[in-house]
Amino acid sequence: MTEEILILGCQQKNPQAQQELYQRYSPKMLTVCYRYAKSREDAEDMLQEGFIKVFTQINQFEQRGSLEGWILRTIVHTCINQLKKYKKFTEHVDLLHAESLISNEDNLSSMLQAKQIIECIRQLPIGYRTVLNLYALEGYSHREIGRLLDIEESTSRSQYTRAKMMLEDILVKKNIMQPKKEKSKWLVPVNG
Amino acid sequence: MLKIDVLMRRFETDELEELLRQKKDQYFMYPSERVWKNIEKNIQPSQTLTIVSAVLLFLLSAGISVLFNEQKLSTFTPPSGQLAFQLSENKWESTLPIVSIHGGAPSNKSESFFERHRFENAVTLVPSSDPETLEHPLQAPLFAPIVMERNWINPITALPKNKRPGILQSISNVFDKAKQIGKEAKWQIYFSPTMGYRSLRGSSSSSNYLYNSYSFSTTSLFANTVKDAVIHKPGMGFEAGAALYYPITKNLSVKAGLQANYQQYEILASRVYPEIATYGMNNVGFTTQPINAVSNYINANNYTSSVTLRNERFMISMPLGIDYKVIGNKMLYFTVASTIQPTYVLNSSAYLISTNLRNYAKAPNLNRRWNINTGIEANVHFQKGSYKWSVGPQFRYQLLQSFTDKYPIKENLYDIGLRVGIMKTF
Repeated sequence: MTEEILILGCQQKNPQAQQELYQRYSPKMLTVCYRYAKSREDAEDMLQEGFIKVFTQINQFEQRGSLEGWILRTIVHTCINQLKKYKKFTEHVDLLHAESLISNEDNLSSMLQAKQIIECIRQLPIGYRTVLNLYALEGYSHREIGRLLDIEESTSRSQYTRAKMMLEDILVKKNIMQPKKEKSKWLVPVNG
Repeated sequence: MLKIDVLMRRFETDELEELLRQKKDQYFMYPSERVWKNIEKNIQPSQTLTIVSAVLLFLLSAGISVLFNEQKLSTFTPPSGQLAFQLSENKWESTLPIVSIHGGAPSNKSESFFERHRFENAVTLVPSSDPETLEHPLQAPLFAPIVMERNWINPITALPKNKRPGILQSISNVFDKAKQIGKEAKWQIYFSPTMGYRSLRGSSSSSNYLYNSYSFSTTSLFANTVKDAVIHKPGMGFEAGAALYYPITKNLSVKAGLQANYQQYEILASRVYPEIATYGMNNVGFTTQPINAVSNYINANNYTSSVTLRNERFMISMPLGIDYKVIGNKMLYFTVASTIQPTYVLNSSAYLISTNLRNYAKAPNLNRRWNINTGIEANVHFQKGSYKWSVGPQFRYQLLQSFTDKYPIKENLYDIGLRVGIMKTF
């Protein structure tokens, strides 16, 4: 089924087209949700709510960009709205805390590298991982992230820098990434 | 600002970001089945809801009918220890309330709540010599104004009719009329198994199709008119509802009610890889745009992939009409009736044939929600105990086409059925 037929079918509430669209995009979108969620169950709940929005709002899709991009934005916004209910995104976590987080997990070495990276991202505190996901993986700007999460643009930048530092440390420790030879002074952990 | 942001991003992109972007699309997770089931529940119209609505509607109609008859019954049963007049051989027989010849409250303390309640609804007749206050022709020689039990007096009805104030008189008249209609009207519950079908008008129009290269379907290769091109079969449905009958003359009654109709017919088609089918044209400004739908079925009987589709509709209607007694006596008689039925289509699951007569697809935007049906019926009525049964054939025809005017092919539904009705009589 071509994308054009798929969109038209979904706009006309054709069950076959709806199922086809879901089957085509749900694996990728569940992975996106999983990066934001606390657990797989939460990720599936986010996916469910996101796809309900996709199907109910598909008449608003104007076919200017790609369908996948539009679905991704809808899913990401759903994830953010879910997270907003429970969390504030302004809290900072020091790197000492990060060390303790790393030491809690043990079996990453057996996983595929792509999955390992996702699991490592999920080790980050919620504020850090949300900003990192939005900036580094979804391609939002800090200004857009600020608007989306109701935080200052500068807060988004600092959260991202800290998230990156923390993730680097995790990835190095898991031998997914080589350690940097020199760290610049401003990246020294706040408690270190 | 956005450009600066993009440039900054390019400049800042480091090893970690590069790694994240490379890896983000290399791992997929597959959701459990419950996710799609829950999504489906939310986005597809619920059949269960429709069925529950139909059952509720039917129960509501039946409930109203039973309640109405119960109230009439309670006014007939004399409370224990009270003297009641049984009036007979006149048209008031079934409507006169119980009457008591003394004005005090009932003294029997052992009577049940139900009996007490019944008594409260009773009416006491107090001797009077004023002929102007007569409420009932049969009370004329003996009794006058109607006064409620337990010393409660209705200030309007207690006054002689010609002495009531203007507005009160009007209200009183309305209530009196309503009361009289309520007493003389009768409820009937009915059910009909039906056989539904449709009439189709229109011809193929190859100028409207855009996407496929077929101007005609395989079955319509030599048939330009839609009724010759399609393979349809009638389907079973039902009609259920309740109607109120009010006698105007000895032989003529008007009736009004509420009913639910489920109507369907079958379509023989074949499954194909999805195609875009055209169903009409939309005027957008000075241009026209085709109305398209995705179609998984073609109008052909290909034996390897043939499938039977159902065009189903669930509707509620308010039949308003007249019922004429042609012949018979009180125990057995024959009537003919005609109704006009404003109708709302609650749920429609209909496959439309494309304008080139090739494809079938659903096009919910083209469905007409409001419609008008007309019905004719002939019934034999017979009394059995305290129930009056009626049985007879009925025919129902949809006056407006099923779809909006943008769709050039006209469909009108009709069904025939065997109507069975029951009415409580006293």
